[in-house]
Amino acid sequence: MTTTRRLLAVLRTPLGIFALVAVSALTFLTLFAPAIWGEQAAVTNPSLVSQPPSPEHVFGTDGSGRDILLRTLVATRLSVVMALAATAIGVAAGVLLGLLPLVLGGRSARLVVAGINIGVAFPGLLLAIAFSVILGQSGLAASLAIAIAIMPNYGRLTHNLAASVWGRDYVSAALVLGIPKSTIVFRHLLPNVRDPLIVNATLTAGGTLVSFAGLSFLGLGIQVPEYDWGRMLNEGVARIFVTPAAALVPGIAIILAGLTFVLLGEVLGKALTPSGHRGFSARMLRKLTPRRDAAPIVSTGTIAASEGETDHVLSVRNLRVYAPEGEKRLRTLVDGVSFDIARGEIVGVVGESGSGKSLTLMSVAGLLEAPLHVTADSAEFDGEQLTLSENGHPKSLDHHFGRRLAMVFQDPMSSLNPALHVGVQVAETGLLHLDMNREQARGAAIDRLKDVQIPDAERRYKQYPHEYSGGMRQRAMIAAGLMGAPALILADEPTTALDVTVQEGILRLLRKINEAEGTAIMFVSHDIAVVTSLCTRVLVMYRGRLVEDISAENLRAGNAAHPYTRALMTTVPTMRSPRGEPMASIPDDADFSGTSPIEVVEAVKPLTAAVRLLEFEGEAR
Amino acid sequence: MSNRLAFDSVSVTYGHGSTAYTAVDGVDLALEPGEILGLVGESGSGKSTLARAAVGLTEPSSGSISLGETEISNARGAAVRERRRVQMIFQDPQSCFNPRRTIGQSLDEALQAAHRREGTDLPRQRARRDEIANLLRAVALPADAAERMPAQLSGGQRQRIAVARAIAAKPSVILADEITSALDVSVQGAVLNLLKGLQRELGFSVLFISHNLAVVRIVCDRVAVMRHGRLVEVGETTEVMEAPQQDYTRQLIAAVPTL
Repeated sequence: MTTTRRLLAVLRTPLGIFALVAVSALTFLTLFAPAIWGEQAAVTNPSLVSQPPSPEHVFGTDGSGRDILLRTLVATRLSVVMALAATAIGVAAGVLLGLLPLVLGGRSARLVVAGINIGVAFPGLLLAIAFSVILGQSGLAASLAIAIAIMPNYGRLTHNLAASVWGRDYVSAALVLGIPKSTIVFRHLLPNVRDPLIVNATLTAGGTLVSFAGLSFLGLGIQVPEYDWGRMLNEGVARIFVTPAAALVPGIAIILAGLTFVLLGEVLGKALTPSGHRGFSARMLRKLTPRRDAAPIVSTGTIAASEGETDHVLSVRNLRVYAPEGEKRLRTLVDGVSFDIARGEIVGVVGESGSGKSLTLMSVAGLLEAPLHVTADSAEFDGEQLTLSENGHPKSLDHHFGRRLAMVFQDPMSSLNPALHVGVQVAETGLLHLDMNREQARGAAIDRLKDVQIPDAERRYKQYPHEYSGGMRQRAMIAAGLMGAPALILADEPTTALDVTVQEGILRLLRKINEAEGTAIMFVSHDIAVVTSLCTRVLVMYRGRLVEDISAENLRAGNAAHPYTRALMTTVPTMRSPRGEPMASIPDDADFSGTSPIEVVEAVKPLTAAVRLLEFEGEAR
Repeated sequence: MSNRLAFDSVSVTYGHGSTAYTAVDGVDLALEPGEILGLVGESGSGKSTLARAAVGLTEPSSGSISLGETEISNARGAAVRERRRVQMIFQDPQSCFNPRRTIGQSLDEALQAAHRREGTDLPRQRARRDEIANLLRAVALPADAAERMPAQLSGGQRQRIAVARAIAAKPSVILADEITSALDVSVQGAVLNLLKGLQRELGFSVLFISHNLAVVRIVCDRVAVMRHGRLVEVGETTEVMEAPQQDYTRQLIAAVPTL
């Protein structure tokens, strides 16, 4: 969804309508109130001093007999314009300040950052008052003072946002091309940090409005005969027991205007950040029609149909995962996947990114959350039927984790708590699920760490995750899974983040566990070579569907039945692939969804004719 | 003006004092004109840092890097311009293009940079548009891909355009840093075929950084192996792969999973 369309969508919500009305009213008053009521509001009437509300004067009159309501309306312009000016100056100066360190680099950059940090440490309002006193008593001086006070915060915010964008590859590419840093800032940096700055600035404008009124109230901002809400508050508060409205009405105006900016900020925030979809209710789900954009895939693999015949640890029928797409449709991410895993079997699941292989594994583990929806005709783990609730979410497998089911994720750094000793996290399973006491759990954890070949396990027990190497962290995760007696290990790309030599060790470990304990393993990976070297059976997924269920032996021998599997196999480079020949690849527009295989595996070769057209002055030619 | 990219006992150290970390430790390596040199090693071996030092994204703490006769490390003035003849292609297809600019704008930026470097007049917009269309065709994409935003293209297509952007800068040397590591194996071949075909056609040399030995074996003429910031072994690809001299190289080759 584009920003404009999101904005229109937000404006149709109650929040959006409310914000629209409030902003329109504030804009109208700012632009036209002085012209319409300016003269009337200035009329003093000695005979009508401090009158209570009456039909002529809705909120009564102030100490000089002027209409309080009209004066409050007219004061909108000065109050809002000054607040906007202060915000604009402060934000602009802050953004420049925040960009400076990146452009400067080196020691001067560190100095600027230190300066920003010191500025942030001061309370903003205190800073504003101090500068207001120094700069003198006038509206402009108060604006500048507030601008200076908010500048460091925007410096910090911009610096943080910009530093993360500066590390992106497209900025590196521009630097390598020799694009001047100032151009990079305007072309690549600002457009990509703009959105959060706009939202924040809107919210800040609300705060600035209150601050500015505060300064005027203290007598530092707007001076007589001009008046803003703060000034009116200042004059009214002295007589609050005579005519409360003289102080209350401008006070309420300040609150309403401040809220308007906050509402606007909320609306902009919603429009500028793509939000996650809300989940659908079960009733809505039934009404929705899943989108099908591909012809049905005829599965060529044979799926063990005879249930109960073999002893299965996991058995899934017709698993589907949907994601909401827009307001009224569902996208099918996993489309009717059925498979069995026998006890002690190692089954690999391969496919490209987006093929649904990880989703399949995560839905078996019950780890998918709204807005994704999971349905299945049946799912059985270790003899227990996994009930799928009405709106499609499988009941959590929590009670199996730690005892009968273990899970290994791709990134061991993020699946371990960095603040706790690794050993404690391994032992936790024993405490939580296996009714061990502390000593037993500790002993068992050290045994498991030894099992997964972590050297010096007693000492390593008391180390933090960052003191472990990537491979050791993954071993520790496996050790935690082995605390119980798992019938199945679910592994989601467990070696993808690891180096080849480390990967080899993890694969050997998994194989050893499988052989020694008879633990079944469901191993999801994009790397076909890894899967065929570890697994006994391979499931191939393509666009959400299971297209092949084949033994690893048959796959290696080139006996795959589905054209996609065959195409995929030819694209895997090996140490025996011919050198000096173009590599096989699957073209962008290839589609294996149809039943008749099309000629898909062809090497994409550069169009040399087009290359010759390029003006090129390579030396070595 | 020669195109030999030479690293002369280059070291790169991050941090100061007790927390200092030497990412690259006295590396001597030369990339000969027109060759594809593979640089392999595990994560943290310093192979990416070495490449980043060559294009000025990080400064070597000692040693020097030269392109032909010109020293391009710690470069100023004309040497910086000379360094632009070394271009780099990055790993992550998600972040290699500004998400708010069209592919055409990104390629145009590279074209303009090349003209600025060579001091030639910038061709008119129309001529540049033709040149962009040619670049896209050179990486087997239709000319109208120039109108697309990066998010509308697949990872493999974006990496091909990243190759086109590097070519647009008319480089003598391209540093390709794990350019297919984040891609599906099914589209990896297309990117590498293009890079190799363009290299043969245009004659630039390539430093091909990868952890995937099977790919390096197919793509590269020579291979250099790095470990813990040091160069372990350099040689012809077939020699290194079939008769590795070092234990570490043997270990790496043995760990490659086979189909």
